[in-house]
Amino acid sequence: MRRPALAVLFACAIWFSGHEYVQLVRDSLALLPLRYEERRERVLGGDYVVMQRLASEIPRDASVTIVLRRPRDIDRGIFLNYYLYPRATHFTEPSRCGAGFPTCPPGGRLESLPHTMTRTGVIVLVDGSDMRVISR
Amino acid sequence: MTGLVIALLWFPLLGAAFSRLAGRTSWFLAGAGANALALFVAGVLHIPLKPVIAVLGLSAIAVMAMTPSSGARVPRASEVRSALPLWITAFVLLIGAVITPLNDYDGRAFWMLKAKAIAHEQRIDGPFFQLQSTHSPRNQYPLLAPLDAATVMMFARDGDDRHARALFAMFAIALAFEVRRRFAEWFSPSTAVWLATLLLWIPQIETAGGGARSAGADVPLAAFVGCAFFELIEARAPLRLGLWLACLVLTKNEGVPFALVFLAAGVFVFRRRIIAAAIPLAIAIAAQFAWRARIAPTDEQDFLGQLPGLPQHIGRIGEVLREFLPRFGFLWIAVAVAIAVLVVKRAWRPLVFGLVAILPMLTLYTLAYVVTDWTIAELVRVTATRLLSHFVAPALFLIAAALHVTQSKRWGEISEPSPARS
Repeated sequence: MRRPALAVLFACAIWFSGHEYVQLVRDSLALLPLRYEERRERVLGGDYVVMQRLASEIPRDASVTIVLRRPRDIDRGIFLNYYLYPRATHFTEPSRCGAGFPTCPPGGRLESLPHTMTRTGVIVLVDGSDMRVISR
Repeated sequence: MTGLVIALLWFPLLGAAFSRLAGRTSWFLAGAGANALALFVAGVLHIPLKPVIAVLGLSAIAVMAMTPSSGARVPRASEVRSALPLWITAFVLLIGAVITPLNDYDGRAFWMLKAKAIAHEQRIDGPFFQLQSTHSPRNQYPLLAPLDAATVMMFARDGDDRHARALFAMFAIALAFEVRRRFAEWFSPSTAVWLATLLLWIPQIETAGGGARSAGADVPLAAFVGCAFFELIEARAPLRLGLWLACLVLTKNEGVPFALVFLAAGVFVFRRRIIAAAIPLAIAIAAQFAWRARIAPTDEQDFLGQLPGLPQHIGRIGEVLREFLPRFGFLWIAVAVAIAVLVVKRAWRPLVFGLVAILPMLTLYTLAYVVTDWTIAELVRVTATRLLSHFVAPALFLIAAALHVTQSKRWGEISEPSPARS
């Protein structure tokens, strides 16, 4: 009884996870010859490439304000925050000025943002997949 | 490769020394737990982290040199052959994690960012945790996993997350090998190998999003839950139980109620000896409170603050169950069958142990969904798989007990907690 029960459990596990393991082996073999940065570019895609470019442009001791064009840009902002570390960062979202986003342009107008920043440093705009330095 | 070597040497070294003092256990998990616990307490006391790491290493070497072996040994070739499915799966998972870059959300957004900050600032209450430098979401999340990852980064002298890839995979692998060791003692070697291998094949554990290939804290929590649960069953070493309870508190917020449930169960198992387990737990809880009082507030949801609203929201329980139950998967169908078998065969002792480890926390997770401000379906979608992974060791124990129900029944009649050897 034990063997059939274990066999059924394993059949289920292979059914649900087998393709994941096959994919893991395939990915590992495909990525192994590449340098680690190239592996990241392949796995994480275009956003990572842009974030790495920004990280290479911005000095490590810079203070960075990450401006989110829309609320849904928050995830890209979070990852940009991660890849920019150890640079000092904070977030601003012109459309949602409030306690969580203390540095806001008058009327929430993005175009006036660089002139109203209270912190000196680099301002990076996250506008969907378009992420760029808009002021230094 | 540096991270792989450190994960396979440093944490097992600390764990082996702990095993010499407190009795045989998983070297990796004990090492990862002891390392983070020591660094966390040192960080709260403002003791620099690198000297603490050096003292830990020297102490471990001294303990290994001066105390007799606890009986652990390098596995024989025949043992490796009989456990080949487990070794192959573990190898594929570990090497796969090392080769493929980190790409899960929580791992990068919360946990690994904290590890980088600790390695960079050499403190756990520096500018990062005061929100004076980088944006730090979920600022008050417990620090066990980040401290271990930061240790690897400090050894590697590089804050790149690739160094910690092996560390997180090893939590799952070490749990699988601990399941194998325990089940081989209590049930049978072949059941132990297959259920330990199954652990690494369960979608909740295998997945790259929140599982063994992520940098989240759910698999480490599942590993410590498993170790604490096994100590309760074995009923021999309250000090080891204390280490696991402290680790639960320092791994995730859910670890606190888990630890309290296990402590309460431990009172029945260990009687007055439970004091030895309560001391490390009390130290971890006190250190956690002291640390949180000193750093900036967090942006995470206050579940405890929402609990009083339960009576108003209780009508949502139907929606919660509709969303939650389909996430349970094949393992939980097997667990339900196992529970039925144990009830029919009146194997009460393993049944009670398994249910004590699962039911209180599963109820708490369900209530958290009921009182949440989030959209229930969305919250269940992103968290259910990870929460269910916490129960993997007790779930596999129930299945093993049902498969060996004759042995399991004998547990109620004998005081020796290793029926397979008796």
